[in-house]
Amino acid sequence: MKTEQEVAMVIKRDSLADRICKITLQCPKIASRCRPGQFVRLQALAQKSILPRPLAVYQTDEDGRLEVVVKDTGPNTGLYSRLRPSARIRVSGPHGQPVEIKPEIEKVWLIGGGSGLASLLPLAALLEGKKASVIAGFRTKAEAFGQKDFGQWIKWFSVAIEDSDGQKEWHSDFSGRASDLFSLQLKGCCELMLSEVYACGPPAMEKAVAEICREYGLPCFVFLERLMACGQGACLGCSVPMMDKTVKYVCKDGPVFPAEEVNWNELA
Amino acid sequence: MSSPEVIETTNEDDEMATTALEMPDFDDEAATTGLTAIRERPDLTVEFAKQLLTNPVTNASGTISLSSRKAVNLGQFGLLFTKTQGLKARLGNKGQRIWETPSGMLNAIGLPRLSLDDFIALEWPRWLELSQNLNVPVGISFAGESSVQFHDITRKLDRLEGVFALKANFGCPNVKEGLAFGQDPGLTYEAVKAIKEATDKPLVVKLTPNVTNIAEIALAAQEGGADALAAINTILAMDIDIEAGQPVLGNTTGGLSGPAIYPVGLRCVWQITDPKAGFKIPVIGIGGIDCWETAVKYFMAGATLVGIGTANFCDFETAGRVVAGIEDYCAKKGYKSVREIPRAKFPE
Repeated sequence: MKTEQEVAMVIKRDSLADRICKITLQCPKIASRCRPGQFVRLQALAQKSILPRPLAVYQTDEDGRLEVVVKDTGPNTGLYSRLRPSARIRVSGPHGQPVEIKPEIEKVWLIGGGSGLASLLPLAALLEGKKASVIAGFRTKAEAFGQKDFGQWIKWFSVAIEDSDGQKEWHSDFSGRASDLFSLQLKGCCELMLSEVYACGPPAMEKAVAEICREYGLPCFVFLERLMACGQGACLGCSVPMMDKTVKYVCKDGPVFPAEEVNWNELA
Repeated sequence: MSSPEVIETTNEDDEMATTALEMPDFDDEAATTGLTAIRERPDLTVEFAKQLLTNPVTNASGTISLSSRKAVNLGQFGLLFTKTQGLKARLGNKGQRIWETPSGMLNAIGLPRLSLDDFIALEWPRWLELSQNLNVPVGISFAGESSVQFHDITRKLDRLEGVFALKANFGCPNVKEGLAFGQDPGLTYEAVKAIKEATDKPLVVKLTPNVTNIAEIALAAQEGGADALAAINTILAMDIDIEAGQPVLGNTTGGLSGPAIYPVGLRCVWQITDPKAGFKIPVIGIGGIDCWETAVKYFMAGATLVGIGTANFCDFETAGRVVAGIEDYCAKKGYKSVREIPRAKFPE
């Protein structure tokens, strides 16, 4: 599929949680082509910075709008988080391969860590008619988001807060890591059915989820993030070492990979 | 929207939109369009390796692959080069392969590639098809580990149909000597001779800037029979992660590219095109070109063609912007052809 580049206009910016915001962009060519699992890149804005930054697509609509979720962690994400309506920014996408969930799959877990949860929302829209459960893990409650947006499609939205202060405002609030909550849910699950697990978050979280899935014999797919230059499979910078000794690339083969095929020990 | 961190002045937003995106100044555009109607557009064609190219813009090897056609309009280029090919298949380097640095990036990719036989059987036919569809000639970049291997690879590539030119990457190490070919005039001369004995196809020699005197290497390549030179390859560099206390790249060192390096590229191109020093062959100026202004600087330093590298990653329309900018510059200066852009007046 063709990767487009266009100058998008910022329509609005909404705060989702502490240092995490959602930017709505008008970029019709890219919005109409984006499929679940794919991502976009935003032009670098920081002085002396040149490489476009890959960002998760949160939602798109038929009016050409596309939402990206940004966590303010550095000079570029800091400037994205301050973009004002009517500002223009160069966007390219969609990048990567779309995720397809086979019709025979009966149950899907979506497990997100921090702002990584954003990448999973487009998948939620694919899960109509299937049993689905979201586990959202955050370091603190101030970083939590997504319940309402996922609630459009998925009823079961559980939150795991690592540094929980014991307040229970969120549904199924849990003190601990997302992977711990996942493990707990699996233990209480009487029938695993034909299930799949999709995880997006910090590498340690994805690795922990993958390990649990391996124990239960569940297929697990992880969203991988690597530093990226070209976004088109040309520079071969965003390498992912695989268990079969081959090398794959986030921008053209990913960003979603079967967890058991990834050589986690060699993934820098 | 009431965040206190919102940029409050409109100026900053405007600057972000205009300078970062290089949005056209609409008044100027209207004026230029008006001129177009009454004035003939400058001729962008350039003769290179005895063939006519539609424009003088090519790519740095390794920055455009077959998969790039889905993102980049490759028809914008006057000439394309493949990634560097070699005898044996390679997976590339382990660990972190790229890193952003101020106005540039480091890469230590490690030349992942198919074997030469697989490239010839599987990939070259697709390049040829692309070349024919776009009407853009394609050259093959390649590297060997010894003069003998350069010769052997050349013999195989020489048999291929439709190759515009061969580009020998002399930034790669000679296994026996431990030096890059392009770091020693003797090795350079010997390898160029070995390649030219195996082919009549035009040969471009890509030079590394990681030398004390690039002119000495360039002369050796010219004397060995090179038809053209390309300069520069990336600059050997590194960066350190101060939290982890270790180099950022898996390979420790890598090549610096991007706008940060264009002054080095200009200096090298100027050195290896000086007619008084005996230089006669054309040069492809490469290094940090992300806009037409830098491209024009390379022409003024002495380049015949310019190559875009890292900027292809950042803005898929860079080549088209550069070509259009060169054309407008020539029109503004009254040059009928891009070939009329003069070498800058350097002091004697």
